Amino acid sequence: MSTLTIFGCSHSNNGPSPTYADILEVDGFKVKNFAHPGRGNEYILAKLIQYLRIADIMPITDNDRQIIVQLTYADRLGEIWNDEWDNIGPFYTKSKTKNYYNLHYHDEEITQESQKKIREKVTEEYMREKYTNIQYCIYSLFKLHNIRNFHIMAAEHQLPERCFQLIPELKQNYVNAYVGMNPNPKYKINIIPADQNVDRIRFDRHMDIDQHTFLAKKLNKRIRSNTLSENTLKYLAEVEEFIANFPCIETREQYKRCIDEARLIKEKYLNNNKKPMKKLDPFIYE
Amino acid sequence: MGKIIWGWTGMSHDASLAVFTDDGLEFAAHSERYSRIKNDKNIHPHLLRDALEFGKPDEIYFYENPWLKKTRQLYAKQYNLLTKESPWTHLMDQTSRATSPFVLPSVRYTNHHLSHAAYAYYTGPWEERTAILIVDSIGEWETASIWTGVNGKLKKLWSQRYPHSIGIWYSAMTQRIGLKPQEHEYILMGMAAVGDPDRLYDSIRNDFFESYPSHRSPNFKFKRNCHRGCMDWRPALNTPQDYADIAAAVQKIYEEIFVELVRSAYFLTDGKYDSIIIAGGCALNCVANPLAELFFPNVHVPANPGDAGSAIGCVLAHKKQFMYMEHAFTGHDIKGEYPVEKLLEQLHTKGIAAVAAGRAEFGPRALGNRSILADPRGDDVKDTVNKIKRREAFRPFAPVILEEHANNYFDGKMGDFMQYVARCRNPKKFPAIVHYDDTSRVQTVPAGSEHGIRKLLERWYAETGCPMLLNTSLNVRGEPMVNTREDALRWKDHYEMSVCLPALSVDDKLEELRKRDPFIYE
Repeated sequence: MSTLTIFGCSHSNNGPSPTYADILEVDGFKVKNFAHPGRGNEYILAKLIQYLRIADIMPITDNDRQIIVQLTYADRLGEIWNDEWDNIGPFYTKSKTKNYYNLHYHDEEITQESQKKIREKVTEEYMREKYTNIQYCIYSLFKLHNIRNFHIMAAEHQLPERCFQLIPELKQNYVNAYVGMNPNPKYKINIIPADQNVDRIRFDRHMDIDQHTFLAKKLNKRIRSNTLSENTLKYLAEVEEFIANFPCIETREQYKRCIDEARLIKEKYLNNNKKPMKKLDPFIYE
Repeated sequence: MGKIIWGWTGMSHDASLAVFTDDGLEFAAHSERYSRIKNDKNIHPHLLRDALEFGKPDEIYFYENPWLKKTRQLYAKQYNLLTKESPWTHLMDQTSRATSPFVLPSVRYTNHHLSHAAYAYYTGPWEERTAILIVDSIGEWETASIWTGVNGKLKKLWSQRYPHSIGIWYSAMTQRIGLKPQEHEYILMGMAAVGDPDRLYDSIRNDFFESYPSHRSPNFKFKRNCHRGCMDWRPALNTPQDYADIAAAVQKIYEEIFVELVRSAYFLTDGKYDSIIIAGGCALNCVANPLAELFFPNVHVPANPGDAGSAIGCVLAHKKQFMYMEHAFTGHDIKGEYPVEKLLEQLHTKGIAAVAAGRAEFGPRALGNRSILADPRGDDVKDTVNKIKRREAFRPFAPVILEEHANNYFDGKMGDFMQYVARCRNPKKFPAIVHYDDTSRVQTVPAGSEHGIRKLLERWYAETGCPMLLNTSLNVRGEPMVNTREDALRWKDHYEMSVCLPALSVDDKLEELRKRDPFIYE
């Protein structure tokens, strides 16, 4: 069984709505999905470095091991705060800027003016440089570890167009560049899955099932030169029906229920021939 | 330069680290305060950074024997834990995250209950002779033990082995009433005062216990192993009143067993000893602790009787050195003068103030250096503080009082580390610091103490005639206590209430900046 290791943001792991990662998993890949909704490119790079640390003991250059790195929007900032990844961006839009600088330069009062000054420092050029460096790092890492079976993708949305306009040459380097923005979503999964956004109804502009299926087929063709299996197509039909009929999500509970039910459908197709293991209560003490 | 010795606990829960030099204990702190994860099991790199300020260690001790523990884990079928990394590897890994890597000396192991006993005895007030009772959930195999400490030597008299464990059963019952085991046992203890202890007493006793400890033998046996919890026990009991009644019955049974074990300690020492030290995680049960006075006139509970305190204990077990711990302020230092004036001003104007100053407490209780303090008089204080702390309404707050005045306000055994509960003589006057049963978990501050909280209480008494303040821990809900200056400022952001911090001198400020960004300020 081919192993597919995925690093990315919500375009690779998007709550109830199946992404190309889920589709490929049902299609027979052993998927390790390290993607996390809302996280920035720093997180993606850090996870990749962590993963590559095992390169010395595991043969990850085998042909049946594939790595997909899906870079997220260039304007996202991420950093480790208290040993956990914190999502700071998108930098231009979030009011979190103030909190971010309060945490780091707490001695000084943050005013509107100083905030503006700080914002001026983080320019498009900075973003562009950072994005280029991260991409360069990823390529170098793969080269260093002699890994050739990797795929890099990018995500875009309407905001960083001004960033991307400055760096079109980067765009062309991607194996599969795709547009994250989806102005006419087919179904109403109206919650952006990052934790801080749940309970706030927003228009989810992630790609829908059709677009993800297209992407999955494309990737599958690159990796195994065949199309999606019948089992996968059945899964897609069922999950699509489920999402189409699911009422518009408005609360966290609804969102969780939707995720759970979508997961059950997936597991049904994943575990076609497997017996479920008996679940025991965990030990209270080690 | 003298020898530097580290003692540490962790890898399963409550990681902590203690640093000894030739001068004695220099530093001891919980990892959770640095990682901001309650009961964190990993040694945090920032904790190691603080410890390494005293130099690299020459000897390292661990609070239990992992190989012996593995035999128990094998017996319990906890197979996933058998391949767990060794303590040395764990510490090495975390150290390499904290500083440029260097090779640590090998880690020496101490038996779990011996670490507890050593911490209790060598930091306790009685060198000549004392009985020691250890009750906790689980060590390698032992779950409860009785020791004697005579002229610097520890001797084990009795022990009870897994799977019969009062601590595990107490945690399982905590889980049964919808709380988090290994963390919320203190809430169960508080809930006990609200429930009826007799309603479910018989059914719990019959369903769980095969034999009780008695004057003939301290051994006890359970009918079932509660290591995986007991969520299946009488699922029909699921209303808040049921939970309170379960809590009350559990606490009653625990107290009965505790008294029997103390009595066994009395008999095993032939009644010749007049003092007992209680340690182990169950010694945090401050409602039961005063009951030890039934058999021993002198009772002592150390500041940090749980597993974290064994970071000190495992070193002392090998060194066999006495070092009476008068206070528990051994953690991270927020440098500067204790802000007495600022606190008084806020207490007078708002009736409530928060403080983070000096060295952090090594133990589960806030004892004045990382505390929210309030004027205990008046009806609305409890609500005001509860509103800030956002916690259950039934839980009371603890008072901190000048020791010389304590007997005027409370009746019963009291200690410097909130180890016991005492009855309040005038509960109507101080509703915020008394529980439903008119008891309080009193912290006394002895005369001659040089800590800031003593100075504050003296000034408060001089200005108001009240020698007491309400004292509760300074933490964001769901997080451990505030540790550093940054944590205090984050707390301020959360609750929109300022924290009184010591003023920084220019040198300290530069030092902080240098730490934050060494390249700029070097």
